[in-house]
Amino acid sequence: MLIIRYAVAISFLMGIGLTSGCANVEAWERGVLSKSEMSWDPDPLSAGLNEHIYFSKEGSSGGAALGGGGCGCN
Amino acid sequence: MAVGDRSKNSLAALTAAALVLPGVSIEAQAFDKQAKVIKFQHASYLEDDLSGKLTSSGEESPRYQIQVDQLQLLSPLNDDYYLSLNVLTEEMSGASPMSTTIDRDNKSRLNMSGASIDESRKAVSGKITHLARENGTLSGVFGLSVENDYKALSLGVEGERFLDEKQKSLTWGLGLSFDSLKPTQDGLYTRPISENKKSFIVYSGVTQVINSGAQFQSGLSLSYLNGYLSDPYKILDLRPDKRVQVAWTNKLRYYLSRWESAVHLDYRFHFDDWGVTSHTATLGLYYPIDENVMISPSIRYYTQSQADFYTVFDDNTIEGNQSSDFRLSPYGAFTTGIKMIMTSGQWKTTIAAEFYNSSGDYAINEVRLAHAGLVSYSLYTLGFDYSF
Repeated sequence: MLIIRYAVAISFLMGIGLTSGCANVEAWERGVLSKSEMSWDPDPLSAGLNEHIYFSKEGSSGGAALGGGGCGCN
Repeated sequence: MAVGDRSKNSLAALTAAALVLPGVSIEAQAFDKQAKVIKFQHASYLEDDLSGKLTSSGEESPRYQIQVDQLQLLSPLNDDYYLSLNVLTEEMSGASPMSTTIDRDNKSRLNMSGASIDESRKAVSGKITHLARENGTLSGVFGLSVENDYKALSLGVEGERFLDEKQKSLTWGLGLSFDSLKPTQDGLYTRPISENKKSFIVYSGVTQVINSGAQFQSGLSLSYLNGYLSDPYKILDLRPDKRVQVAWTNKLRYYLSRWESAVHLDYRFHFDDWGVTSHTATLGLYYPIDENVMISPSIRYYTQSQADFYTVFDDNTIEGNQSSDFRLSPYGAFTTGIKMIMTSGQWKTTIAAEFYNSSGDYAINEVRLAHAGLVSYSLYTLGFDYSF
């Protein structure tokens, strides 16, 4: 099945990413990474609303998060 | 400042830095500080009117408008547990496409529902995170959404495991959703009395600190939907009763030291067994104007192919599945947005505007006949956060 083949290929790429080495960044060097604007979703309330709108108005949805709900029929 | 105070502050800064966990959401960062945050946000969602050239009646038609109020509470419950609770209400009004016809010029036209839709949605969702794990977190999530004709209950569990002194992490999640719908009957069209839908989602992801100013996240999700997946308010809409969706999401956060700005670059590749393939790319910037004001412009591009059973117009002669829903047609869309975040003491105010435009011309592949119902909308939000 094509979908499974794609999923396996993507998992393989992610596995390479996990095992590949990056620069060693000590904990005290991560001050910039702790800034709220560097987080994955600095404004989760707005991000959730946008995701629901896109879920309702577009033909595809999904991502690495749980939740949602509602018809989105109209 | 006394030397003792300075070293104490340095120690606090080091401790805070050591607590930075890549891949943990903003809520997680909040519980690092043990802060309680309450947020309120109002949003106005306004779809552009539909031109009379695109309706079967020849008259201009209003489309959907939604007023959304959201309330969020982020708070530690005790030393071991952290709570995120969200409440949402939506007031919806306007009209939506019920069917698609084709005119003599080979252009599609919409039969609109009339400005008769007037309903509301209420939803509550939450997440409880177990913090008392040195090498990760474990969370339980729930959601309940209620409309007069639709109810959805979702439950899930998700976790994160830190690796390599928190420079790397693995995330995972499992979720279930049970939806039931009882379409409003108007006596004019045949609609199902009662239907159900079940959804199952599983995802996993990897987060990696690249250097002191960059981090990357990649995740793969698989969704399985089973049950009534058609639109009950369309006159002719027959879709398969199963759908398998795969989404590969990637996020890069990069800090531009020179401008003290954060660059956000996201990409999602989606495909499913209905034949819909899509690409979504988002670029955003968080730029501080001064100590207390930040401005954030963003642009998002989206393009999708049509579903296998998509039809340009409703055709009674076709046997089997068919849908003329614009959401299953081929098109592309741009969202442009601007946000301003102002901080004053314990208060934070956010003002934002977004503009969404979709068109067959924006699709990555050539679209011979774009759907007349492709939507354009504006979204305005105003939010307040209070930390205590």
